[in-house]
Amino acid sequence: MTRDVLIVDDSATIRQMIRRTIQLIDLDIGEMFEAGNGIEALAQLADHEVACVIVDINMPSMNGIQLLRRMKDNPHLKDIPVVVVSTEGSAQRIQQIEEWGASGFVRKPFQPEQLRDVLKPMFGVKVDGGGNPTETDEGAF
Amino acid sequence: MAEAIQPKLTKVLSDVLANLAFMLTDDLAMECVQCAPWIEVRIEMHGRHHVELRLRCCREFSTILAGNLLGLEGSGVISIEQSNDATKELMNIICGQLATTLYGTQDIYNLTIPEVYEYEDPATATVPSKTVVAAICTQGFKVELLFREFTPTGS
Repeated sequence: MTRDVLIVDDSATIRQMIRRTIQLIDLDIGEMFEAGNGIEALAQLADHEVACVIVDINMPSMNGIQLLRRMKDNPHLKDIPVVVVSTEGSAQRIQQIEEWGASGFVRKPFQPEQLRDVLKPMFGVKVDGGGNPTETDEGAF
Repeated sequence: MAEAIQPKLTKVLSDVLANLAFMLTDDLAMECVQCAPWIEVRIEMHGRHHVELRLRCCREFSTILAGNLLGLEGSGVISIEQSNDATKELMNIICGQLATTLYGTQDIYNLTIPEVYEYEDPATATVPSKTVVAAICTQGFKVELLFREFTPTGS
């Protein structure tokens, strides 16, 4: 079973920050692939099997919502957990993200623990209570 | 309106810099470094309200910000591209935080992709009318956040 991750954000800075955060947290994660938008992400997903996709919303060419919907419409990609990491704070949008099939949401700026807690269940680690998102908060759905 | 919004702009700017980049806000009364070039990042958010935000800072501040975010504090060369990218992301996060601070969490706001402009002479960076300006001093550098609500053309 793969333990690789795909990080999708148009900001190379944020991709690097997420990469560093993942290296800091105590999870057995394999290779980390990167993409700058949804189109690049789909190309990466065609080439690599990943355990999880971490995706921003606000990106050029194909944004994170469009990518999420394309993945959920694709029988080969629909079961890959998607964690949205975004500046988004709208309760309505977070609800939409959940309804469209995302597995978790983390709001920027985030602390390493917040990302770790959302990623844990995707890598077979039990979550110690809590962790469920509130209306405008983050967590695993 | 400006009196009500300005403290919220200042707080969001200070909080995001502290949480994202560990950059604490200094007393505004202290001398901030005056430097050039001055960069400006613009973003818009559209929903029930239409807002243009501009973040203005020194290139040197932007470079330090990028170093902090990339974990290269003082130990690596930061390119212009990295500096711009870090400042655009700062703007993006500030915009997302301001949407909920000013307008609550019920409505959806769509953000545009941030754009960077550079001014060799900061004095040429004009302030559009009806703009609320918040300024802070961090790491000895002045950082400004400009806020302007507008009605889109054709609406």
